[in-house]
Amino acid sequence: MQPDRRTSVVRQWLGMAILAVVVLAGGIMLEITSDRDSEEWATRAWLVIAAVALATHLGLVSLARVRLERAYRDLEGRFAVQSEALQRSLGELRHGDLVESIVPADDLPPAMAEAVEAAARAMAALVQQIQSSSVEVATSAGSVHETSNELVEGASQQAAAVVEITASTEELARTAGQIATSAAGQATFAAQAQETGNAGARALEEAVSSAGELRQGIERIADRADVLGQRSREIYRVLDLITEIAQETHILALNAAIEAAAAGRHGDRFGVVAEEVRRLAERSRESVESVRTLLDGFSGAIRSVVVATEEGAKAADHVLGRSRSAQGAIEQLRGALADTARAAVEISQATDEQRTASNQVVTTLRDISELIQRTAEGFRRVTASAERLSDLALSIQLLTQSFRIDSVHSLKHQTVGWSDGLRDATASFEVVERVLADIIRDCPYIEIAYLVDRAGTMVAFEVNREVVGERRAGRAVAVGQAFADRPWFQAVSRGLRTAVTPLYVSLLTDDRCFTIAAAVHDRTGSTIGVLGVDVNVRSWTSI
Amino acid sequence: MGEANRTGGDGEPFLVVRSGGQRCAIPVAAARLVTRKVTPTRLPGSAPRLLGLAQVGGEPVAVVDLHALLDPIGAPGAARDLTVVVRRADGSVSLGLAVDEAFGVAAIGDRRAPDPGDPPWLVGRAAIDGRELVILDAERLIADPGGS
Repeated sequence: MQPDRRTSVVRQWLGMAILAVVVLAGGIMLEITSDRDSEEWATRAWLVIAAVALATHLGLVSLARVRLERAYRDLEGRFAVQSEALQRSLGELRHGDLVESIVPADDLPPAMAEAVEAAARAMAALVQQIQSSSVEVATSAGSVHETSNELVEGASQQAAAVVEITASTEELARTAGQIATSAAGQATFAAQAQETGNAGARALEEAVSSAGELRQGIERIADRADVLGQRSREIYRVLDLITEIAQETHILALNAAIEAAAAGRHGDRFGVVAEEVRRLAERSRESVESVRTLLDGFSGAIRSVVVATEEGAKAADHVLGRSRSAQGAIEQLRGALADTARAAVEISQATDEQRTASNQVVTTLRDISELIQRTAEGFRRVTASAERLSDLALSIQLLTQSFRIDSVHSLKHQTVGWSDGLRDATASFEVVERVLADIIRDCPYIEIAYLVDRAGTMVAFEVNREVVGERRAGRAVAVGQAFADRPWFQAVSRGLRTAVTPLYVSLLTDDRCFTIAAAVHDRTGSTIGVLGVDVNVRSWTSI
Repeated sequence: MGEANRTGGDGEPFLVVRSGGQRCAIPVAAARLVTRKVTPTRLPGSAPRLLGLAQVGGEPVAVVDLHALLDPIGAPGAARDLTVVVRRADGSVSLGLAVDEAFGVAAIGDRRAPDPGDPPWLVGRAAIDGRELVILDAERLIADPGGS
């Protein structure tokens, strides 16, 4: 209980007690009065007491009551003021303006003002904390999204690689089967070729034997030709001897003729004999020349035979050598064919094993492929969850942006600041454009900043080319265009200082964006327009 | 070689020989011997036509290339197959003439005088079977083989 109230109650009880004392005192005095004088005295005394009591009552009770009523009225007036201030403060809180909600608290009692301010600051801190947390969540979700995307891509590549490897392994298995079949056929062919090689080796052995016999025959012919050559040379020696004898005879006949001529007539008959001898010698020489000519032909034929036999011997040797080489080659070929047949059998067996192993690998690869696909599906779910988480963080961000707090991260607070900057600039179009350009320069995540008048008609705008690029605004944004039907304009027109729209797709960038709008007031507080900024979510979240 | 065997005809008998492409007639009276090729010993500083000194029948004989005598400016002849030994009538000096071939003894009747410029031992020219031959004088040839 408050002291004033206790005093008032004491005073009320004190007044009633005085009245009771006065009444009791008058009754007692009337009871104890026995005569008339005493009765008058008692009456006077009672009147005095009553007067004193009345005065006391007036002084102690009625005056205090008047004062109390006056104090009540004062209190009621302050209560109304404080109620209004509290209402305004709560109204600002209801609209999420945690900055303006503190200002009306100055009219509240200090404790209440402190409580309101503390509540607003706590909420602001909470909003800021939520903002930071949502940013971290968005960042983490983005990292998870990016990582899971990479994992999905990697898993997809792995799956594709496994599919490719599976196809290659299946092809390998099929090829191994074909190789096994071919190797078996090759083994058969090699066996047949080996048989053919054996027949060829036998035939070639016979050919070698025949070539050896031919070589021996040629050697015999060469021996005979040598004998004939020796006989020819002996004949030549005989012919030389005959020629020499003929020449000697010729010379002898010449000398005889000389002697006969020197003898004159006595030598005529001797001269005739000498002449006959000379002629005989001449014929002998002519015959020898004829024989020599024939012998030359015979010797030439023998030399041709010798040359032919030598060439035949060389050819036979060549044939024999080639035949022996061919025999060796066939032997090697037979060995190689036997090796080939064995190798073909081994290849066939190995490729059969390879086919079996390849089939097992294919089965394993299919299991791996299925596992990878399941992993990829899990990663896709993680990606989707990360996307949802990112969207949720973005929604929380937007939710926190619906609060205005005294922070550079509060877009609402910044927009209100920019709208306050336009308070004195609306009369100058150049100043408006400069303010809009400053907004674009300071906030690279804003696609476009614009000012519409009170009727919702576009007055000026500034496009951020670093975000939008060279894409033209076109019909989406133009000076003179009506924006009165936009939700943000209608919200501000209903008396809200600021408004934040839900996410939508920008016509300028095809990215997701949202609009923050703030009313622009003149110095009298009247709304003269609305400042709007379209925030590009991709650029904003990246910052 | 059958064209030089006319010893029974008119005229003086000559031994017909060939040296190179030239046929020559040597008087049979001056011819002493026909022999196979001899191997003379060349004398230092002798003329190219003088093949050297050989021994024939036990006598030293100077051997002269007849072809070199007939054609002094021509190339030296090849080795000759025969050597005809001629001598003076008194038999005092003999000279060997290296020839290629000896055909036999033939009698030469008609002959004409040597051409101007012929060496002094070439004493006439004649023809046998349409083939021209030169007639040699053995005495002059022995006396001056160089023909100067």
